[in-house]
Amino acid sequence: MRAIYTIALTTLRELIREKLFIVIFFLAIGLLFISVALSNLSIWEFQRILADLSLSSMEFTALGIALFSGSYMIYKEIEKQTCLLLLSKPISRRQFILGKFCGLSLLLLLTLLALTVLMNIILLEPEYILNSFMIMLNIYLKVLVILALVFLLSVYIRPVISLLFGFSFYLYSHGINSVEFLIKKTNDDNLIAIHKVLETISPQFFRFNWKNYYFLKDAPDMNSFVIMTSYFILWIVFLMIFAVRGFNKRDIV
Amino acid sequence: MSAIENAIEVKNLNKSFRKSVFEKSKHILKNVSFDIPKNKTTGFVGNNGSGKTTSIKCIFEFIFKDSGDVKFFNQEMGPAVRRRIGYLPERPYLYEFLTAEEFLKFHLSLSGIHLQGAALNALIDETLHKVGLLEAKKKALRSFSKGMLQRAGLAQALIHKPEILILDEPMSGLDPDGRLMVKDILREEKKKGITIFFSSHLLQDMEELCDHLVAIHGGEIIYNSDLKSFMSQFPSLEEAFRSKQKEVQK
Ligand SMILES: Nc1ncnc2c1ncn2[C@@H]1O[C@H](COP(=O)(O)OP(=O)(O)OP(=O)(O)O)[C@@H](O)[C@H]1O
Ligand SMILES: [Mg+2]
Repeated sequence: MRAIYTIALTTLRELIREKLFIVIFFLAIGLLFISVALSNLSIWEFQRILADLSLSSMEFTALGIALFSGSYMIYKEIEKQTCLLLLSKPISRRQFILGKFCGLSLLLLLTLLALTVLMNIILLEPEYILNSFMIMLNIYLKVLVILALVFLLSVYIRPVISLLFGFSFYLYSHGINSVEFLIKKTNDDNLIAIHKVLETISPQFFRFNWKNYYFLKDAPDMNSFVIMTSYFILWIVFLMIFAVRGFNKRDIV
Repeated sequence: MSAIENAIEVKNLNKSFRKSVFEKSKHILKNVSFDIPKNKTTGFVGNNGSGKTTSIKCIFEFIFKDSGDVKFFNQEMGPAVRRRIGYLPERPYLYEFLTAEEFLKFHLSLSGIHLQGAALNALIDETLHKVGLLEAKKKALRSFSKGMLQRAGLAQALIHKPEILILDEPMSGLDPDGRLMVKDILREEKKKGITIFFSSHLLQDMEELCDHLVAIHGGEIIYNSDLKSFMSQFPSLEEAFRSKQKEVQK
């Protein structure tokens, strides 16, 4: 446990010092402020647009960080052989990869927390505060599923491919409904069958898509909150088990 | 051989690589067997691509051997063994955004040594001083030159006071001063009874430092015994090695 913690903190420190994230971070903040400037509208419209914009920009900032850093993280460790030093120490490969995962998860959490706090400051609506953090958690867990997926993929394939795959997977998992609708229209049995398989093996993001203004006013009840949380955590655990297994067997040449 | 206890014994190591699914696999290590005697300095020589780094990576299980057996003090590789080893990889790319001090603290902690306060600082300073990096303590590793990175890598291998040092080309990338420094460090560690295993192309250095020699050629071990008898009929290790290679090629 201690090794995972040490690696996670060092990873976080590395990531924060890499300028890229500072840039993305300010970009997101900038977006928020632009949206404020744009919203020269009635208070209701203003809140609605601002909330929608900031919740989406939160999700895309986090998704961007997860996709880019996640798919390159393990690859870079292997390619540049930085992991050799760590793996020569009395730590297991499992601890190594989990430490890396936790470090990046911490960065994502900090980013999302900061953006949520900022959003609340701009909205100035005490009723929304609790709900906004629930939505943040929803976004966070979704992004962690994608992060775990690209971690798993990057053990086996090139980072660009795992990045693209991760992104398509995210889109697909959000749009299963619409994909289903389109595919049913084609009346192609093969396509329908493929879709059925894909649907059952994909995380059902669209069922838990809380990223919109409606949820700020009316939070999902406790029940669906618990279901959402456990559902995504199970996915993360499931994907990481395979990532660890893959990494355990990989030659670091 | 039973009179000397070996720190590490490598037996019949085989490893093949396949670059891609479409290519035929290449047999890189062919029944590699050698010993690293305890409390001695062992040199590992061989041409580029002869399999030195691959052997070392197999020892650490960074890559998985196809067959064979590696024992450390008669034990299998595991956390208990790793705690007793210091390792310097061939190309020590390190975490660029850490300072030298943070880097050493990180590695010390991963070695399972959790010091704090004055004791920790003293150990860090002592180690940085040893490798000539005390001035650069607060500098980020990304601002380091190649030789400075090599030194930082060496510091990391020494800081937890291991019983065995395994160094893959510790002298590469260093200026003459740096090479001298590494040699001094290796001599000092040997005096303390540390077992040292290092690979190098610099046969001159090897001649000065080693008691035992392991020579590899095209993935096969061509010598594994003490250095003196290897070069008994030759003026230098360089010539002894050349002649041995010719003999094998025939
Ligand atoms: N990932 C890999 N796939 C296929 N072949 C590889 C791979 N890595 C190394 N090799 C081959 O294995 C052989 C041994 O390489 P190795 O790095 O062990 O040599 P070395 O003795 O350390 O050489 P050097 O002195 O240049 O460091 C080389 O012929 C190399 O081409
Ligand atoms: Mg090498």
